[in-house]
Amino acid sequence: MPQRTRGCRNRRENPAYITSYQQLKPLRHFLDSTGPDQYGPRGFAGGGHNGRLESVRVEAMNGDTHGADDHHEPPDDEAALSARLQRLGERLAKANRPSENGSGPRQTADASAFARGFRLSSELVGGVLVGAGIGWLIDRWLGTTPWGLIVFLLLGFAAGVLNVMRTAGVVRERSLND
Amino acid sequence: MDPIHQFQIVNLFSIGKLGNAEIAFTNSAAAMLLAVILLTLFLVGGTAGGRAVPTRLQSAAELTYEFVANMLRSTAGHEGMKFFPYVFSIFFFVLTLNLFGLIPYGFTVTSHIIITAALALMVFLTVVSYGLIRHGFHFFNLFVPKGVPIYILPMIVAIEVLSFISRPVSHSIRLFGNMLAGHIALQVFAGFIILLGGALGAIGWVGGVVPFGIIVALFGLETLVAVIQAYVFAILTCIYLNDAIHPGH
Repeated sequence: MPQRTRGCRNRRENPAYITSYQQLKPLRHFLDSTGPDQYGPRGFAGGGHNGRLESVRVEAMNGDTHGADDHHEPPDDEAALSARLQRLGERLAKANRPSENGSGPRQTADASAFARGFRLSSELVGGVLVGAGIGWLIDRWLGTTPWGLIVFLLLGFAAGVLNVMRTAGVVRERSLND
Repeated sequence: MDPIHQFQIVNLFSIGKLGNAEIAFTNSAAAMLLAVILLTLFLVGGTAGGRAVPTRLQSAAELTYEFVANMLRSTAGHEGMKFFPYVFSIFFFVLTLNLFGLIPYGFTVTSHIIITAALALMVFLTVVSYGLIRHGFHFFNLFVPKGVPIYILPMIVAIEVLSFISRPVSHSIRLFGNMLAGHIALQVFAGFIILLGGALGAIGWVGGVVPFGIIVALFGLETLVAVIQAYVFAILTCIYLNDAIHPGH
């Protein structure tokens, strides 16, 4: 867990790493269970967990250009395998994208569409209600009617939309590291 | 006929007075007490033997333990296990109360927002106090995203704080709203049957088969909702506790 966060933070400026990491995340069980050191293209043999994933990225990126640099070309079966792995990774990523985006544990909460719909709506309502309530209280205490209510209702609406987007996994969870 | 009537609080007997306010033992309190007694009997009875080859009751008790423990581990990690008794109690308390509401003539405690709000506030206060004790003022960094330009930072912080404060509100509204809406819908469709029969006589009673079929389907849905909402309430508790344990994640 902490390893992964650190890795993400260091390479945040490199979007290619992140996408390839997300694509390969579902593959990890498959790769681990078949003994990574004897299996797959050269990149898989390297180092620890993160190192292995990173070299997979390098392989995947080279897959586009390896016609150009000949000395770098792996044997045929390995190239075919790495191409297949890349395609599989892309398909898995496409299939998993809505739930995989940022919020791992939360997807288990969405036991049914009904529950999810109710959850999203209550997040929005909660934000607006809290904003309105705080604005009203500030107006009452400071006598700034109606400005506190106006400002905090709008802020509460923004918070509600943020909650909904976080719940739906459209934006990342808040975090201290970035 | 009144769809709200089922949620009425009835004083069963008076316990005493606090100032001018009467402290009464209500039907809501009775349902909660019954839930606690049933759960205690179930778990104490299930774990009393402690056999290597479990009996049926012990097996069921172990299943509930495994279920909640897996839920907590997968959301809050191994450190979250120190909150296991809390999450376990919340999940089974809410689940039992939700299911009580489905028994005919039963009372749905969780359809009162004061109950769900109290539970959600307890979770919220636990998260804030544990986060502050564990991480000190570092916990407030939760509201300050890094890499945001300084001129919009105040607005972002205000939105983050509001978003955090709105958690107990949405947490409690969700459970309360689901239970309230479901039980009102059941009652309204049941009322249709009586209205049809009273207005149209024999044809009306035959026509009442349609709303009756809807009630059967709704009851199935309500059973599902009762379980799912208890699960959602518990798993959100886990997610919020996870923020208190690892605010940097």
